Amino acid sequence: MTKERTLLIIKHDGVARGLMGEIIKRIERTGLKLIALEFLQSDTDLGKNHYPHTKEWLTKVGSRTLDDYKKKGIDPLQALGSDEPMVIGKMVKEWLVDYLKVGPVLAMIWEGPQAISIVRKIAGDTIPANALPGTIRGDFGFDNPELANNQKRPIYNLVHASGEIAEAKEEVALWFTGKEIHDYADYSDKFTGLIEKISFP
Amino acid sequence: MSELVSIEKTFLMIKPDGIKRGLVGEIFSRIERVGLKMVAARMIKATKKQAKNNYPGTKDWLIKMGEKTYINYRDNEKAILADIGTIDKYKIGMKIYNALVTYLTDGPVIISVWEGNQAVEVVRKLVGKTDPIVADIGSIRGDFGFDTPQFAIKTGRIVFRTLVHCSDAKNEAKREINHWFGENYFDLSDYLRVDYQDMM
Repeated sequence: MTKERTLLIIKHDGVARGLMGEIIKRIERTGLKLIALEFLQSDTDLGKNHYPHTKEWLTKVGSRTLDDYKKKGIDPLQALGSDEPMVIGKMVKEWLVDYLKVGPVLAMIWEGPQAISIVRKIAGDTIPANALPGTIRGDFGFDNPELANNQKRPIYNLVHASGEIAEAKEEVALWFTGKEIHDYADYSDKFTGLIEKISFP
Repeated sequence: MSELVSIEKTFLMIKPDGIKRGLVGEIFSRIERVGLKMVAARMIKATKKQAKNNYPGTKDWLIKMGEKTYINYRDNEKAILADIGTIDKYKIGMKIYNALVTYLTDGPVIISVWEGNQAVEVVRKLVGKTDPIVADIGSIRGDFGFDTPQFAIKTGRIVFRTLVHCSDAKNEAKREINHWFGENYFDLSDYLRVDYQDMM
C-alpha cells in the first residue's frame, strides 16, 4: 500500500476571494487526508526555491506561453520582447515568485493513494478557460494568459499543486518541517484496511 | 455608537473530530463567507500540558464541573454512580477534566485567528450552542453535531464532541491566541479581502 504526499498552496487570489474553505472542502470530500496546514507569508527565497531552476522547467514554461501565443496569432517578440522559450520561462518564473509573496497564502500537505494526481485533477488546467467545470480553476477562474502577460504577472489560477512524485517530495520538504506534519488515522485508513478502528475516546 | 464598530480578532479551533470527519473546508467557508479575514492558521498536535492548561483546572472549577453533572442527572445519584462510577463532585470533575484533555489530544487540531467587524460575536453565532440538540439549524454545531452528553457517557467518553471551539469574549480571544500560538504567532492581517475593497 503506497501513499503519496502532495503540496497544495492556496495562492493569494484564493485567500482574498474567501475561497479557502471551498477549495479545502473539494479535496476533503475525495477522502484524502489533510496532514499539515499553515497560513504564511512567503518571501523571495521561498518562492525562488519553490519554482524549479532547471533548464527543462524554464523551457517548458516558456514554450507553453509561446504555444498559446502562436495559437492566438500574437507575436511574442512584440508582446514580450523575446521568442526564446528559456528567456520567457525565466520571466514567468520571476512573476510567479513575486506573486507568491504579494500577500499571505495557505500551504497544506494532503496524503493518500494517488494524492498527487487526484489533487492535480481537482485543481484543473492551469488556464481557467481550458479548465473543466467541476475543477477549482474551472469553477472559480476567470483570468487569461494574454491579460496576465500584458500586466507582467502570472495568471491568477487560485492554487498551486505538486506535479509529480519527485517535485512533491521537494515541495513538501521546502514548505514544512517533519514536526509540522501530523500522522493520524481517519476513516479512509479504515476503508483501505490500514487500521481496524478509528480512535473514538 | 462607537462600540458598535469594533474591528477585532477571535480565536477558532477545529477539534480532532472536525478534522477526522473532513469538515475543515466546510467550517472555514462558513467563516469566510460572512467576510471575516484569516489572520493566522496552523495544524498542530496539542501537547497534554497545552490541553490541560487550556482549562482553569482549579479545585473550585473541578467541583463546579461535578455540579453540572448533578444538574444533568437531576440529582439522581444512583444513575451518576452507575454511569460515572463515583458520586464525589471533585472526582467527577477530575474525570471530566481528563476526558477533555484526551479529546483535545486525540488527533491534530487546527488553530486559527479571524479578524473583522464584531468578529467574536459573529463567529460565536456561526458556531452555535454547545449542545447540538439546541444549536440552531445553519450553525456549525446545528448542522453537523450529533453527539450529546448522554451519548458520550454511554460510550465511555464522558465529554461530548463539539467540532469547534471559539472565543467567548475579546479578552478571552487574546488569552487563547497567546496560549495556542505562543511565540509562533504571526499576525498576517495586512491584506484586504475582496469583500472589503469598496468599503475601506
